[in-house]
Amino acid sequence: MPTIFVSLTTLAAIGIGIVITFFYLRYMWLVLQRVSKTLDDPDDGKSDGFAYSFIGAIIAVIASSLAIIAYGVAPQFIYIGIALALASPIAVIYTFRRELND
Amino acid sequence: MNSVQLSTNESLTPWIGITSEILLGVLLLALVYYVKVKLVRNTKDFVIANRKIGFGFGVAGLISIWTWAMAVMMSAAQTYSFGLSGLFWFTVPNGLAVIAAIPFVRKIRTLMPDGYTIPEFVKVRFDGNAVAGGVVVLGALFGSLIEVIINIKGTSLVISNVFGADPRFAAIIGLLVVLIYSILGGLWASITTSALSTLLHTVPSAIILVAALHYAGGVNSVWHSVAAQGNDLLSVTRPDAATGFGITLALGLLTATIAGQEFWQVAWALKKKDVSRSFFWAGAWFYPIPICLGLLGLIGLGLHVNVNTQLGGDAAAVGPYLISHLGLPTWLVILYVIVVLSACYSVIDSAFTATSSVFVVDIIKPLFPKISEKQLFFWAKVPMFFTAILAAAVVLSGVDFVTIVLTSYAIRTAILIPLVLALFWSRTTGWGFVGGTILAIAIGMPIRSAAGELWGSLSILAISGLVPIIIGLLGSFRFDFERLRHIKDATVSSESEPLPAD
Repeated sequence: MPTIFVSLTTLAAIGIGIVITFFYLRYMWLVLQRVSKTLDDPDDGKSDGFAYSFIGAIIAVIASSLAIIAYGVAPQFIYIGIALALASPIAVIYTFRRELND
Repeated sequence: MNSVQLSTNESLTPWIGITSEILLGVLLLALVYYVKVKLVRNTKDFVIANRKIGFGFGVAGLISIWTWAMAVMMSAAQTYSFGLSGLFWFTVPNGLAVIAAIPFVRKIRTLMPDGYTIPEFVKVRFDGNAVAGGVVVLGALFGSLIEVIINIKGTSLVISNVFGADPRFAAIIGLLVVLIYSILGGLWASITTSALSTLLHTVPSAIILVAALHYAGGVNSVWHSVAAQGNDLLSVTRPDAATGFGITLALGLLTATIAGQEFWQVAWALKKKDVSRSFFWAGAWFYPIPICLGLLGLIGLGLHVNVNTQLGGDAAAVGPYLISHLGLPTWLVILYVIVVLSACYSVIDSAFTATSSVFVVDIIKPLFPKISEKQLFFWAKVPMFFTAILAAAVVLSGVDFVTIVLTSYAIRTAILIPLVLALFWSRTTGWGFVGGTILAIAIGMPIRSAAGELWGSLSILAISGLVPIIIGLLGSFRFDFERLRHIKDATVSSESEPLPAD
């Protein structure tokens, strides 16, 4: 399928990418507008209470190591890296949503 | 794999490359214009974003600030050089370095809530010890300059390799583009453009890799070709990857985040409640970028790309070479270039902002404590110009890319342990800090030259740690960390005092 979109798999990746891009830009824009309206608001005084960084770090390191190890197990696992690259902006969209709801 | 032909794409002309650089700059400039109008009113907004960066921009900004040209090109280069062991040793310490910074950024934000820079902390911590302050100011400015140089080198490498453009011209255009939007918006510009860049590092990377694998003959073909070469290329246990670059790089990466002004300024600019979780999410969701782009190195191995005859002896060129020679449609090649350029731009603008905050808080403000807000705002932009000029001068001289990276990491490693001790151990003295840093560089760098990267880095760490500990134990000094809480906000001006430039 020697088209400008290369292959059906590439076309599928482009489609998913467009949807992710739409939501990413939408939430980024909403947060930016909110920041401009609340720039002079006083700090809410909440402390830095995130307590899962240690266990989270272990999980993140293990998960990333497993993704790389999986590349060497079978050819199909090569797509894990591509799937993760699409998952990363989805995670950022979630953080934008959390910021909007805070 | 023999059916895959690697050939030059004749439609990739130098002007397409230069135009890509400029168009990406125009896109970022449009965003920064909005940011400047809505968010940047004074020096505090410019250098520390009024401490109003939230969870979303914190995570998105940090991911991109940490995604150097290195993460894009060297993930592929190390995979190409060492197989999956190279990707493992490049990727895993990279994300961990951001997460490992959490205890330190949390501590500094609690101890010194109104801080701006590492030198500012060091000066207060060591009772205004001018030598300690001077060493750290120089280190911070040098570190930021090196980051600009490395990433502008990345810009010129990709534009020249893919489009055949003059690398010097590409470097100058890249510097100008980032300089213009950085001067407009400071840290807000850096964070918002970096947030946009995070999108550009991820979605396009996935699309490009799917297409590249298709053109390379498919995943089965690539994978079996690499497997047939043996050498544990599909294993993560090759020891030469760890000793060759992995351990040294891991130490250097830790230094870059824990002792890097670019990260401390974000820690001080984030809303207090968002500091730890932003660093954690950024570290964790940075991982997919090198994991995905490292696949280009695997494709290079699968297609038997020759480092000497096809890459000009530089493994870092494997990604740009494959993208421009696999026969991909031109729009996908441009998309790859935008991935690399956005990575370079986001690090450069962050480094520009770091020089700005160090210059304002640690040089201008102490010299002219009554400087007016208007003058301070003007001077906040001046160091960006000088950094750009110095970086251009170094890049135009043509120095090796990988050597610059490893040398800068070694030098920054010398400051890591003294800084951590200053943060956590009340007996650390100013002279222990200075002695540890300088002796580590003076003794460690020759060891590095003679015995290699690994022993050099370990020597630097050992000396920089032992000296302040010994000096601290010999004396009776105890620092009261409570004093850090009462430091005044450095960019809040009172009365006006004329500057020589007026």
